[in-house]
Amino acid sequence: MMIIPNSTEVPISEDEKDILQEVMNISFGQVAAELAEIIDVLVVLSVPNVTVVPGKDFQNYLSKKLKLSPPFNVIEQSFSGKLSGIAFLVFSSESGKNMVAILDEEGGEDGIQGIDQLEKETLMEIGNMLTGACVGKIAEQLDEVVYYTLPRVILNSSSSLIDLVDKDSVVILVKTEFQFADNDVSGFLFLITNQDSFQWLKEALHRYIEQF
Amino acid sequence: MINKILMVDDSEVALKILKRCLPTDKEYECVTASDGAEGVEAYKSEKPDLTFLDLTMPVMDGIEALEIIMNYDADAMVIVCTADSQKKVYDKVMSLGAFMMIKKPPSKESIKAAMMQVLQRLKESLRNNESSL
Amino acid sequence: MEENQVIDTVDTGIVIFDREYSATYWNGWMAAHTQISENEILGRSLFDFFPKLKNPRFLRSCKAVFAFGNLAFFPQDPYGYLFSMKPVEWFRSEFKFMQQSCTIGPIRGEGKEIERLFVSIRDMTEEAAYKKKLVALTLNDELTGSYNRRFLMNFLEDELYRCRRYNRPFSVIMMDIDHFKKINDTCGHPFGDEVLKLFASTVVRNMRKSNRFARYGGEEFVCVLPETDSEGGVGFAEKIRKLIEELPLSYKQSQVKITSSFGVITYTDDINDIATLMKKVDDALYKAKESGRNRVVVAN
Repeated sequence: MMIIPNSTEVPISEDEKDILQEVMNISFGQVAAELAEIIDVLVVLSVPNVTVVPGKDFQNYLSKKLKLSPPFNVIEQSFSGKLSGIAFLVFSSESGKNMVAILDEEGGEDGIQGIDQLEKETLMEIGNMLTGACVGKIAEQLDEVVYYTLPRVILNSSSSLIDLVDKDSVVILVKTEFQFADNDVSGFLFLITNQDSFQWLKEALHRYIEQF
Repeated sequence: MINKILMVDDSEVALKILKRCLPTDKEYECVTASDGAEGVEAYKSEKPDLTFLDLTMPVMDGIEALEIIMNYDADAMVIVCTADSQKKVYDKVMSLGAFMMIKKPPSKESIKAAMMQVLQRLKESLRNNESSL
Repeated sequence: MEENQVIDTVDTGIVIFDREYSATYWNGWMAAHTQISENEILGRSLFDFFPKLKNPRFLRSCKAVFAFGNLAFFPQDPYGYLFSMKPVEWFRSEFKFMQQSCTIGPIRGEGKEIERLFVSIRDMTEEAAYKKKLVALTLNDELTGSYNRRFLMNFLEDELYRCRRYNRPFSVIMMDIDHFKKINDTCGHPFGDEVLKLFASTVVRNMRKSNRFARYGGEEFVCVLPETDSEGGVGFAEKIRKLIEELPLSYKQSQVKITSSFGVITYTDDINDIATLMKKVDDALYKAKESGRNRVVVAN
């Protein structure tokens, strides 16, 4: 295991970061293509951005960098295996509503009592699909298999985002912006991984580039 | 007939992978550019026989670069490299005049097959030019 | 071989199917709970037996698992169930169908290609019933059986959010039994409790299904009326006021007349939070009391 004495130190070389970036590009590009086929709308995933953030600055980073103002929807999901961590999707409540409209042709007929329920179902489905696809594709590129837990949907969260990060840890953050159907739905996907997993990831990246 | 190859990609790693996938039967002169704008400039100054173009890049993306290159030289042979093979993306780049699209990551096989097709096309257009003379 | 025995007898349903949604495996649990034998279903489309399964969400999830190799989850909350079947204790279950938590996952062939999918199905009927009971316990007022304050505040929060988002009207009525302390003092607490129960049941019996009625505290109650404008809100409050006034109550052979006061508020977009809303409706109720009780006052 790698020990990082100074939390601002980046535990990844520029070369490794480049490879990771390219693996992400490829993975997310494939995800966009296949997802578009499944849900039948144009899907755009931005070039993923890899950042290392000290745990104590995480909350601050989210509110400053994301400029997302509450209320928003959050979908949290853990994954485990050699590549392990937490994925979470964040998007505005407005986007959540639009997502229901995109996916459920017959949506809305449930009346007022049904809207939250419908939204929850849709978000759980799409969140699971998006994280599963992104994490799965990265793992696939690196020849690994990942296990997932049940996603957790938090509707209209207005409080501070999440307390899932240990203040003393280092968070390896992969951020991507996604858009469905010409902007009707957009948000962020974060992958947070721990240092053990990151060590494996680094080795896998070297193996990856060697195969060409 | 393919001597000079221009590779446009913002990722050093992607360029490295692409170079490693080129056929080893001969030495190619490789020119690289790291965004769309640089790619367009390099195309104009280097006049490559073949261009590999990434789509998602900063400054100027591949779609825009493709459009400018094809306007500048209607005979440009451009192969778009992307992991995002959505039909809508494919239709877009083909309508702009790309020669073909290949999926990322490339492999020795996919690059070889693509270059065979490029050679075929170059031969055909050469023959057509000759017969029309 | 041993594994097969386990898979066949384990208390989880296991179904395997191919890209055409034809069943290629159907374990003992599935056969036992659906009354469909392995012989009947193997090689046939799941949709022949479970037509409701052919819905966009299930199909999308399967496509995604085929494409990405991830797991797709259909937990009991919110999905209820995937495969319709009777609950094991159908004779006393409050659910018409067995509540299930299902997971769909990939099965890879030798070349790592995903060729088939599996679904595992767990019976969650008992847990769901238990959860329902627990929820009821934490959200209901023990004496009157109506919702409690905790439920009310959550419901109002949702309702306010919904109204702002979908631009729909809603009204809130705050009601209070007049001189309740005096009733308690002269007739005793058991009688007071009966009055509270009677008051609550009168409102609940007369309100719409989409309305929510809660005991706010002591002898104070709140009724939330979604999709109701001011006129509708006042009309309902007036109706209740009259009904309460006419309740045939007696204590030790002598007639007891009770009255109640009402504050009504209808959502307008200058109301930003629940605290403001409750303050305004409380003020209206106070005015009703102050100006002589047994009346309805609209908040301004």
